[in-house]
Amino acid sequence: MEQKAKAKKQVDVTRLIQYMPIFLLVLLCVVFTAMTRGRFLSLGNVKTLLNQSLIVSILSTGAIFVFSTGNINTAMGGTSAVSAIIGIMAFHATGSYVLMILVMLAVAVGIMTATCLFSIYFKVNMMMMTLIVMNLLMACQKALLVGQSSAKVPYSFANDAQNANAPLIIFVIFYVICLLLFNGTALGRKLKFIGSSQNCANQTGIHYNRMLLVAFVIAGIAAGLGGLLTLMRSGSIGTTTNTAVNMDVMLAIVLAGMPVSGGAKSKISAAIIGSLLVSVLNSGLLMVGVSSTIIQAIRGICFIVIIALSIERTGRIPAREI
Amino acid sequence: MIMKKQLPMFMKKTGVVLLPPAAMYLVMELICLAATGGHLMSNMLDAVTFVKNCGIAICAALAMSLNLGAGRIDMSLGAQRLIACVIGGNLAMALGLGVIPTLLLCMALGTVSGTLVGFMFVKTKIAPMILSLGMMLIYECVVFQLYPEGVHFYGRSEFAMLSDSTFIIVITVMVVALMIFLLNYSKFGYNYRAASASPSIAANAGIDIEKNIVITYALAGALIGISSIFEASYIGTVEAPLNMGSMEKVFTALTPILVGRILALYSNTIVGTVSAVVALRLLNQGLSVMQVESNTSSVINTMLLLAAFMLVTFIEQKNIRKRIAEKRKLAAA
Amino acid sequence: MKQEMKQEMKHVRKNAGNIAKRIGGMMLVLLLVIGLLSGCGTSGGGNANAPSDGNENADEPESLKKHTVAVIFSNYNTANICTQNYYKDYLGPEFNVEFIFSEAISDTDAVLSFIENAYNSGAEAVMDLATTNIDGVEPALAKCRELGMFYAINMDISDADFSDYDNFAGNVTVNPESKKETYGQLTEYILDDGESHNVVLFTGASIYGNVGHISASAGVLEVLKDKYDLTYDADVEDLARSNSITKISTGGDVKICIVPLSQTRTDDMYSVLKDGEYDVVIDTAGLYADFLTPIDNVERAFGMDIKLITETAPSESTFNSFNTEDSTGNSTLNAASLSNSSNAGLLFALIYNSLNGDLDKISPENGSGATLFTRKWVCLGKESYETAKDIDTDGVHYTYRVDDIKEMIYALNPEINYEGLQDWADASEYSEVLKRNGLDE
Repeated sequence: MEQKAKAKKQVDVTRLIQYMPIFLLVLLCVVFTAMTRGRFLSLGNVKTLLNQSLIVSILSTGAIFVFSTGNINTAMGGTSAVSAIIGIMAFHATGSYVLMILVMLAVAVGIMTATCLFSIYFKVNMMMMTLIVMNLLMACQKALLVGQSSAKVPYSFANDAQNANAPLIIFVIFYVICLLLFNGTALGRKLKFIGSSQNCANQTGIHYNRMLLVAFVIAGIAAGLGGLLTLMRSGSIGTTTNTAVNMDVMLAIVLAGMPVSGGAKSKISAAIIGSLLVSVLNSGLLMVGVSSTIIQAIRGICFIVIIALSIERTGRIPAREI
Repeated sequence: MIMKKQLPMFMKKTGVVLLPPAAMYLVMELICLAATGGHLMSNMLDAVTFVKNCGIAICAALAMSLNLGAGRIDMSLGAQRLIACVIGGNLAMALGLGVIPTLLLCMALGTVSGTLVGFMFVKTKIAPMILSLGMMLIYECVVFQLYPEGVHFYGRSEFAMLSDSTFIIVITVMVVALMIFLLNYSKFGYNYRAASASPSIAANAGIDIEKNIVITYALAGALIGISSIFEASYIGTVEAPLNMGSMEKVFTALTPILVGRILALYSNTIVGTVSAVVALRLLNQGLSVMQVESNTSSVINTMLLLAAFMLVTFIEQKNIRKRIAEKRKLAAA
Repeated sequence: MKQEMKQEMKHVRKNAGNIAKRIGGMMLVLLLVIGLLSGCGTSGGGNANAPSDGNENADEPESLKKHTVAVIFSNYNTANICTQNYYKDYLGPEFNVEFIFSEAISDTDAVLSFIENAYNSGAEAVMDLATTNIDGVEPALAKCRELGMFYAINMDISDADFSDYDNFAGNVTVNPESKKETYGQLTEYILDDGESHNVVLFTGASIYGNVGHISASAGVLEVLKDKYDLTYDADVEDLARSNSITKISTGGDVKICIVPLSQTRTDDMYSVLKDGEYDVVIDTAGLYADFLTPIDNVERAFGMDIKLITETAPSESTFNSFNTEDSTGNSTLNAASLSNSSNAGLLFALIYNSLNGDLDKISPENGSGATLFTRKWVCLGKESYETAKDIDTDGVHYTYRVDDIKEMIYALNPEINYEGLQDWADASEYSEVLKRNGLDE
């Protein structure tokens, strides 16, 4: 009996695999700290890493609600940029920062909701729908900025926001709310259930379309806040702002061990861990002397290696994506 | 007797396949006349340029359709294109290669880069889109490190034939014929279609799925290599972008592939894709004649992609409902 | 029972073994990749990999103290690769400066992230050759001030006031008026045959407010107006800002078509040229390589010569463009405004003086950063290019050689001041550069 109990305890060690991304984050920090003789973990650098990862973190937090249902959302960056530009237009028309923020959130939620509804009612594959929306938003971003190099607010807005640590506060509040929603409420359980098996979820009375819509609304709020954080950091939105973030969000989420197919193993902590991993890689590699043009290749290699080593092998070729 | 029955069916299928380009030509010609007073193709130069663009787009679309037909999105195809034309082109210039060796070199580099992606996919079993993102980052970086300025073909008369319309047509026709044969009349094609429909059933039937997948990726790489060298010599210069800048090319090939899948119901995927490519090139020709602003043009193309997707989904759903209804009838009988 | 237990233990050991293999595999790959590539990627100049450690070089004179400078690029075109080599291979070793180069950055947020990462890698100053949007300057400047870094930029910021920022070393750019004059000169050269020409004007990023492109485009339109006695229905700068392909009204027989920057610019140019109406193409943005094939196709189809003016840097592709004959037996590229390394050299001088604590010695009296205007070179044909082609590319001849840069450094030449730097900026004139390099006849 005792031996059986011991064996069961040791079997649980397989669950360590879910902590692989955290272990990797710690490992990278240790390696970079050793190679830079302690400079990597200086207070200034840690603060820098946190600041750099905030935008991707907040977008990833919202995206995880969609990812957990087994769908992929690639339009977060474009949504945040376009909503920010329209918000700035509202600011210039009224002079009100509050209205600017409200318009940003409304536009972002509107875009995400429209994407979701279109996909549901016209039965278009969600990933393709978000890819199409991503392309559309890139064109819209350029079209909205014709005649000017960027849409901007007075730099004092960004300056004051940075001094007050507003981006960090906004992120923490949003993350805590999402954490509670995802882990502590029926919403999170339902979303993960849908990701695990949509059929079973339907048969237990979970309304797939409704839940997906809720997930996209939360993603929309995250995109709106992402646009706000971008504005708080740089004070302006240009024609290429946040275009790379679309894929950075996916990279971060997948790097953190969140399964692309969603399901029960989805975790909201993947947002922070993944974006920190990306920032740590970028910053650490530059600090140890790797040329910035090579960092991209290392990200790609690490990306593939980490995912390959952290997925459960079923021996089967992955299912059709489209 | 049989011929009498088959002929109308053949005519109907041919008509459906030719309908998109013919309809698009008529529509765009009328719009151009109304908007600008000019024709869609106003001179021989227009026709030659159109043919070159079609050849390039057909090869690219066929490359993308190979994996898309099996339900795999390969985002790294744009980066494989860079490997083929930038590295291949620069090597060819450095080694003083002729036209055919250059074409073969680019095909070979495309094949190698495609094979590597396929091999990584079957060994790691990571979702294709995710894997292709990682490979795209690596490939872009490799190309940039080797040739940060990209490749410049302009002024190199020894490569002039690569942008010659006759040469492009000949190669494209050969590619299309080969692809029709491979996918419809060869063992590879049979295995490919079986593996695309259901990998597990195909594996149980004795098909080596992994080998088939690697060959598919390799073939896609070879096709994108052909498309890329034609495009590079036609445009004259290709840059080496970073930060997933090569991904854009992937999307332009999606619409004709989706439309091709609809037309494939009446012919086959290859012919359907070719027809769809020609139709789309006619649309872009019309937008160019009307000098529509590029952002507007981009929005139009994206909306078209969405419409194509909706249509494909609608037709597939309709077919599924039809099959279920037939099964129920049989069961009731 | 015992056998079952044995089976379970075997299974557990196998699981644990698999996990250990995964963790070990991941560690090994990461260590290998990082270890290998930290040696492969160099930042350029000085001691490439080791960050500066205050005690090193303690015996060396103050002016040769090791410094680390971050350089931001928006792309890696020919001109920027020349600049990178100029810094990394020429100035870096001579002045003991290590450079950290960015990847291709075009977005303010990415610029800020790079500045932060560069600071953490030991950079003490930033030379910004990427930002072209005035809205992006203040965030970068503020970030540098926060981190205690000096900042200099390759952009015209005459309309802005950054006197509050004591870390602002200055800005170096081609004077927009000078750019206007250069393009005017080039246009006059092309139109000097006494015949009437129809012109396609590629205005580049004028639609996004790029001052240089607007000035150049305005220069061309003004020359055309004077030459052919035209009347426009809008101001030349407003015409330059057209956001779509526009055939502007000229009040005469001469045709002028504006083509703005877009992703489909090759197709746009082709759609304008394909009817054979236009025989001059003027490119203000240095993207002429995208237009060579449409131009060649139209020349062949109509048997006509289309003259081409552009902005470019000395390079192999520029040499090919000047020396390749088109189907009509004429030069593919007829004239060009040539970039040179004057901006790069002056930026370096500003930053190096700042790092030595001599910023106040080379700044204007009003306390704001130095503003220096350099010259582009006018290259009228392939014979003219023959002499210019080796400057900044052959590793021997430079717009500003090491000795010239030393003259700009206060620690090495205490007589230098702001006016002196302005004189050096004026000395980027082509004839002066030839003289300094012993290439004048």
